[in-house]
Amino acid sequence: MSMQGEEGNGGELNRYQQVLKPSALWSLGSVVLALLGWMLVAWLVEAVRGVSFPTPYECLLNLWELLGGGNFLGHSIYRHLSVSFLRWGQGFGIGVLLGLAYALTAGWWEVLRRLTLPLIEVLQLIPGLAWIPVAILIFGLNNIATIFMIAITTFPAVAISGIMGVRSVDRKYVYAARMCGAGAGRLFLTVFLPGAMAHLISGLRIAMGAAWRVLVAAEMIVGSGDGLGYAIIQSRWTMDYVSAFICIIIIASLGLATERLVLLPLEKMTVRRWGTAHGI
Amino acid sequence: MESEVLVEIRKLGMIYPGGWGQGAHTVFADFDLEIYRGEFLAVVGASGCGKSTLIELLAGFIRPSAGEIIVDQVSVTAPGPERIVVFQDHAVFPWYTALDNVAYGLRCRGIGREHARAEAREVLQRLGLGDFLDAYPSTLSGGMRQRVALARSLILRPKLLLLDEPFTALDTSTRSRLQDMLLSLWEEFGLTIVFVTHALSEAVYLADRVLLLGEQAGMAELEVIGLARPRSRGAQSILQLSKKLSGQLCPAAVDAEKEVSPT
Repeated sequence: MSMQGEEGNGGELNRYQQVLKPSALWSLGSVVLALLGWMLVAWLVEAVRGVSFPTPYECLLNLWELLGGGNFLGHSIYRHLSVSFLRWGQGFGIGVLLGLAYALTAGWWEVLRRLTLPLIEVLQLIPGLAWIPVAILIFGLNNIATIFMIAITTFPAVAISGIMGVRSVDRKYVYAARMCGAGAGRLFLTVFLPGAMAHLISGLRIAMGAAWRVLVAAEMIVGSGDGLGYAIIQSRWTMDYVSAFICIIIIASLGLATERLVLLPLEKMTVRRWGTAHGI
Repeated sequence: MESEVLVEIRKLGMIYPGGWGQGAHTVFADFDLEIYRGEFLAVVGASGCGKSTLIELLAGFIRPSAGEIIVDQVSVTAPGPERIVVFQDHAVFPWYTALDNVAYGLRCRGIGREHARAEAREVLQRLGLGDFLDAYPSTLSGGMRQRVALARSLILRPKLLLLDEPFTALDTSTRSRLQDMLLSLWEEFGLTIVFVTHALSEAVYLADRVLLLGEQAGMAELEVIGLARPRSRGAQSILQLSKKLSGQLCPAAVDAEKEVSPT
């Protein structure tokens, strides 16, 4: 965290940003590249296998139709979308809250950490989908099973990054807060939480992506009857591949949007402003 | 000396347990010291002699292996706002602005945000940082950060201000400026200061008394600096006294240094 180093990097970055402006053009470039790749694959599949493969144009037309709010596998596309988003929000929210609470306690209470951290590291190694039988046994075939799977995928990523963050907080800040008269609660909120923020944001980023993937997969299997994952798997049975593609795009856009609208602002408001961010 | 005793260190013992294959490391053994109210005490010694340990013990960050430290008739058992440390690398919270860093201690006392900030603003202005109230520490220079740390300490009106090599990481001119600022604050607020440094000239320039700590536990000497204030850095009396003390502190170390670097 040397001053000189940061100033040097900042200067270089600014120069790049000036050359690359406007950044919107570059984002557009990525989209065009993706579309070209997609069209190439569609053309190759048709040419080689003789199977029709949804093209971007077909998807756009179909998307327009779906956005009209017509019946799509029993519900409107908006209903599938909001149901999925709500499930994701609940599972992710529970996982984050538990992970944070655990990290702030165990980062500081060594007995708890030594006893439980190995278990949480094992937990992180278990793929989210492997929880399906467990979730169904505990909760049955329902919404709660899906939310459980998302939460238990989110929890270890947040917990482990949080513990790393709390432990990375320099002892001198803890000393400084304690001599100023800070009690345990204030110490957590004013020292450990902001001090762990850089690690936490990386953990949240990983957890967010993992939670989306598990959500979609769980909806495919737990058989909820609605949601984007359900829509994808049902479209496959009804040979409506175009709609399946649209659902995949919607899921990717939602994931991207949550990252850009939640995590990026959080990062800018905290660690980047404080000068404690890890790299870029 | 007829002054009132503020800090009493009685039969202090501090032993660090050794690691693998190492014996325990004794830093203090049967160490006694009295610090007077309003005094400027400097502590000098080679690294590893226990200078920083003394600060941590006085602050209450660590507990002594034996003996007792009494500050204003109360035995030290934990950190508290009447004994504030300014660390070498400042320990100013990077996630708060200069203003909120200084207001932090008052907020811990349950004082309202606006009131605490108003008072913090005054102290920062007194230390010449009126234009940097809303700056985050990462955008401030080393000297400014150290002034924020000083302001954060002063606002709590500590009975004992403990400075652990506070100016070591700064360049010479900034260091001189902050030394003089510290002296004027010391007089203005009637502070009692324990100032740890490895530079004897700094100790002699600033302090009423200098505590010399040897490398082995038990080697401690107190020297009264009888020079009138204001003092002048380049004065012959200061240079001579520094030289004399450095000979007293560790003659062997001076010789060893000569052997290593013939320049």
